[in-house]
Amino acid sequence: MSTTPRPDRIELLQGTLDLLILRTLRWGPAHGHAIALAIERASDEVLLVEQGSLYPALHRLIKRGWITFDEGTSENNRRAKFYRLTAKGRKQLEVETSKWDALARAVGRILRPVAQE
Amino acid sequence: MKRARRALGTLDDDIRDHLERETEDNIGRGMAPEEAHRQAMLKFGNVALAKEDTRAVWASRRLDETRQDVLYALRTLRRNGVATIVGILVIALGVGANTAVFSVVHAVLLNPLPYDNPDRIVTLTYLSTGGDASGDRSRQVSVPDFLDWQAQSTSFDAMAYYTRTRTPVIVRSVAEYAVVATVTEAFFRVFAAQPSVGRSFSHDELREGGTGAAMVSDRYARQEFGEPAQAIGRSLRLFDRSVPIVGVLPPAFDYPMDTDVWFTATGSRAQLHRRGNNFRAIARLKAEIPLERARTELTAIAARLEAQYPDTNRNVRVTATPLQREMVGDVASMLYLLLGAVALVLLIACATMATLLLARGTARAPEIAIRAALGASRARIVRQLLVEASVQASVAAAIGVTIAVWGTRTLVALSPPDVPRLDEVSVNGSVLLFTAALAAVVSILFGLPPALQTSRVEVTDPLRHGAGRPAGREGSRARELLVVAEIAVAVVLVATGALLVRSLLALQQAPLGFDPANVLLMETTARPRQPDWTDSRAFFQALLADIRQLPGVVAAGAMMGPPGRVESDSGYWVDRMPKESPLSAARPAAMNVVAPGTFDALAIPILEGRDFTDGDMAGRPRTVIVNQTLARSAFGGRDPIGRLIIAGYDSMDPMTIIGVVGDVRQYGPAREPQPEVYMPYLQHVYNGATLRIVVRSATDGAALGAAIQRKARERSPEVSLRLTTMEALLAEHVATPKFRAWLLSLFAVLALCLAMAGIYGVTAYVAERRSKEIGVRMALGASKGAVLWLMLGRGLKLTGIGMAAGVLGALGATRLVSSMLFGIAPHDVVTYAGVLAGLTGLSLLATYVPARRATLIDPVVVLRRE
Repeated sequence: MSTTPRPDRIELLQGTLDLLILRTLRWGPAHGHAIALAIERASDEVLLVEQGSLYPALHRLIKRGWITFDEGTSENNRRAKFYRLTAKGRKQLEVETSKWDALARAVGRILRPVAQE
Repeated sequence: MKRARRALGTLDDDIRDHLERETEDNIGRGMAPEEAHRQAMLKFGNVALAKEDTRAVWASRRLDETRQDVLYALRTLRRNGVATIVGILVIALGVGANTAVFSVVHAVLLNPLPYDNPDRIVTLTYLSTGGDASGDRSRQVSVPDFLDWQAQSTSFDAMAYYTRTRTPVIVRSVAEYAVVATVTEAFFRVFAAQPSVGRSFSHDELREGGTGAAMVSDRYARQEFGEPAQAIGRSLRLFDRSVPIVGVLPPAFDYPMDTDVWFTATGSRAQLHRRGNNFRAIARLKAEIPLERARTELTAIAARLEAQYPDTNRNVRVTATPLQREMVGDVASMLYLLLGAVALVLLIACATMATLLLARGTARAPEIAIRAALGASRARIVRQLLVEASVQASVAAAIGVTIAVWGTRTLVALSPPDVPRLDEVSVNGSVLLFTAALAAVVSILFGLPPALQTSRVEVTDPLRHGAGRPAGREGSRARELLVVAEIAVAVVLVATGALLVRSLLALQQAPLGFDPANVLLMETTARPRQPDWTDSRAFFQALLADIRQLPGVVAAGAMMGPPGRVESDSGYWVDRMPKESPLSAARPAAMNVVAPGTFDALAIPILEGRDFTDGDMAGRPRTVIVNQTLARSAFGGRDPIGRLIIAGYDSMDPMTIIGVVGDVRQYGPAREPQPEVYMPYLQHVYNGATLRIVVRSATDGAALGAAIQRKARERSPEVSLRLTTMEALLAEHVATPKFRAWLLSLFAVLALCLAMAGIYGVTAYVAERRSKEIGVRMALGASKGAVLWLMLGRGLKLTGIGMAAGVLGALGATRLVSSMLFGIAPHDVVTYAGVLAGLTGLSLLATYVPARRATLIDPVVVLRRE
């Protein structure tokens, strides 16, 4: 299967993944698999996230109080956790998004200075 | 962490559900079920890792790692060699000894007294301001002074004076000695003590010339009447009065020390002299008054009294001291000495353990290197080693507490009689807290140096060379430092112990001036019935005649204060009383009252003149015998026989000196003989009805003691008797020096053994590490002697540095004990020389054994080993 990811890659991935999860949940509660699918589709399957790494990220966000969950029953009558954004998470999403935008702009400027001019 | 449990509780299900959904999706995309599942698993990644990472989100990382460290430490603990186990036992011994001594310190010095607001209770004592005695406190005060303090001060809620004495108390018809405190009205208010049964003294019982009453301790009530309530209304006979028992105090209250009966002080106060210093004063400070303010006020009052009564109150000041400090007195310095000594032993124990761990660290270098290679930071490794140390310290503390329980009992059993509150000593919660804190400190002390050393590994080094390769120079440098420290601390302890032991020996060999062997003492109280007390003296006269008839009796006498205990002292004048300020012109002397034959019984030589006879009786000319010191200081070289002495003991009548006797150490072996006046017992009856019968027997007097008691009972069944020996009385004087000398010696020997083990260990280690070098030297022709010297020189150098540091420390430490020394200076050169010579010899031996082994190396074998 997979090897342990290198620490430097985890850092980058972690922040990104967190942001993607928050964005996904902006449209309403979802269970784990649905979040994974949504992220896959939203990024046009470019970002190939290892689905397993979704769970540590979800729990990290719960721990920080940005998302929470309800035990519920899904469409085909199965018990599942439905994750949703908290008020704090919503605010955090704005912060993270603007931070991400700023970073993306900065990186973009460095990589394609002429095209941006 | 409820949230964590809720979130993690269904993690397995969540992931299974996720995988099932993915699999279903895949089947929907047309895959075969197995392939669908395989793809789902691939997409998900490592399931176990995902779960572990998710759990890790919630676990505090630090705590989790610490748990791992502890588990690991416990595992390695079991795998530890004999050396570590020995080290843990050494630490356990050190922690145990500290815990035991601390439990005594806690109960005696730190635990507040069991009274209401005990910090408000103070004793009032004189404080001398003039001359050599400046700063000396004298606990006995006079009633006139007390009454003035009471009338003029405003700092106190209550103020009382009392006396405490062992005296016969008659319950029903038998007279037994009991401890009686004669107290004034405010006494119980000072302690805020209430009787558990009955009531306190009434005003009528307390006033001057009042009816009088008694209260008894819980213990005494149970012993005499079976139950506290039974005591109420019964009557006691004491001091020739019969008084009712009106109350029983609660079990915790027996102040002053072991009191059985509290009796009302109803005697006349008007006649008491301002220098009749026979009472103790105690007071309760008002809640808002600081101690310093009360002291200032008392000083002002004393200054006024000095101006008012210059004859009696010159240089007499008064001060207030918290009761607890007063009670522990000299005991505090002894206990702190012991605490300091055990702390030093523990330090050496830590050094020993650190050395052992350093050795183990060398053996563990490959293991540590592997951890470092796998990415553990140095801090992480140090932490792991410290956790191991604290696990070891915890095990040691647990064993130590067991040792302490036993040690505390032993300490209490052996402790000298002047240590108060020993019944409160126990290994309680506070003591255990101390032990826990101690274990924490100890684990860092012995754990940190080796942890820092061991964690400093070059990853590749031990891995390349394999296990068992000793670390570099630094390892041995750290060990050498530890050994030097051990030796230094050992020198401090051994020097202090040696000084105390030599003091004890000096004390035991001090010339007493009499022969205590085969002397029986019987404290005897014969209450007089006649107003002139002649019947009491007649009893003693007849009893002494009876005793002299008994077989085995060499000589018999009776005296008021046996050697070692001065019952009275007073000023004396030679030839006549001066007209001006008689009291301040008097020279002080111990006052004693003796029967004929007493000097023979104690083997005190009569140097000039004669002993008293039964002819020196009431109505005859007053006679007196003085000791050599008085004769020398009062008469110089001239003959004192026939001269007159006036002593303010019971009358101011002049007495003719008829004899001079040899000096005895009246205040115990530690103090030089003072001037003493002996008066004949038939001319001085009013000292009280108590005398000590002194009997010298030809052999061991155990059987004789019973016979003497029988004779006394035959004469009068009402007398109170207490039989002891002169040697037992003397033993009380050396009980404290003996106790601290033995304990300190014990600690010193422990320290010495550990330090020697340390120097042995470091030499053996160096020999092992340099075995190849030694092999080369010997192969090149170095003699065994040269190699031996090489090793010995190294050990001696360490010992020398350690001893130099130790001597500096000891000079400081022994100054602290100078007040406990007798007949020896704190920097006594002979003692120091002896200690240093002994230590040098022992460390030579401890170095020689491993050094000699190093010379037995076969160069061929060593050189081929590589």
